[in-house]
Amino acid sequence: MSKNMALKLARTKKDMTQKDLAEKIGVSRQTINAIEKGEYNPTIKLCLKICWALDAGLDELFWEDESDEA
Amino acid sequence: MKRKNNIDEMQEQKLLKIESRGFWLAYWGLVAAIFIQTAMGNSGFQYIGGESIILIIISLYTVVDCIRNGIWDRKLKPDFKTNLLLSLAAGLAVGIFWFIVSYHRYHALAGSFATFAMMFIMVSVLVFVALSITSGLYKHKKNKIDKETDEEEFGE
Repeated sequence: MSKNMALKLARTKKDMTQKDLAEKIGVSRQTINAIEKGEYNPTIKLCLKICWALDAGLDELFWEDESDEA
Repeated sequence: MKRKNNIDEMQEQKLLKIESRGFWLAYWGLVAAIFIQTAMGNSGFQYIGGESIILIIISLYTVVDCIRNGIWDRKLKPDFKTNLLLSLAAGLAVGIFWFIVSYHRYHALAGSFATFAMMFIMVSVLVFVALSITSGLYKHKKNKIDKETDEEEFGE
């Protein structure tokens, strides 16, 4: 999995730190960090929570081209 | 050569749940076996040595790996009050167990109460010390992980 730069960008656009986002959706900060680094593949439920928190669409934050998948 | 995975991601999740249930079944099964053997008067190493060693190894592995990953518990908090309550509960459970074993063996109520009190105090203190040390280590590790995450987030 590659780094999720779209998520990082959407979060900083909202002026949120990883901690702010983590608290808003009720997960640990390490989880947000791992998602942004591409080290953790979140469930669709968590993806949706992140999208709702950042007012963004699923494909904006989590879409990957087939060629990007490891 | 990498072997082909025969299960998909949903089956993988189910398998993890099955393995988790199997682990806890084995864990509490070992605890129960030790208690039953002890209740029957077979508390020597030749009776419960193997079970005890396996229980200690898997307990240590679980605690160390959880702390290493900054994980404590799903519901319980690593604070003084929770540690104290858990220690008292463990002391009470072991105390009651030894009260029953002692009364069943010797039929002496005062002696059984003394056994209860001794086991209650000893186990409560030991569990409290163990929980205090491990929760302290957990907090230290959690702070370290948070600091590393800070450096990754703001240091780039």
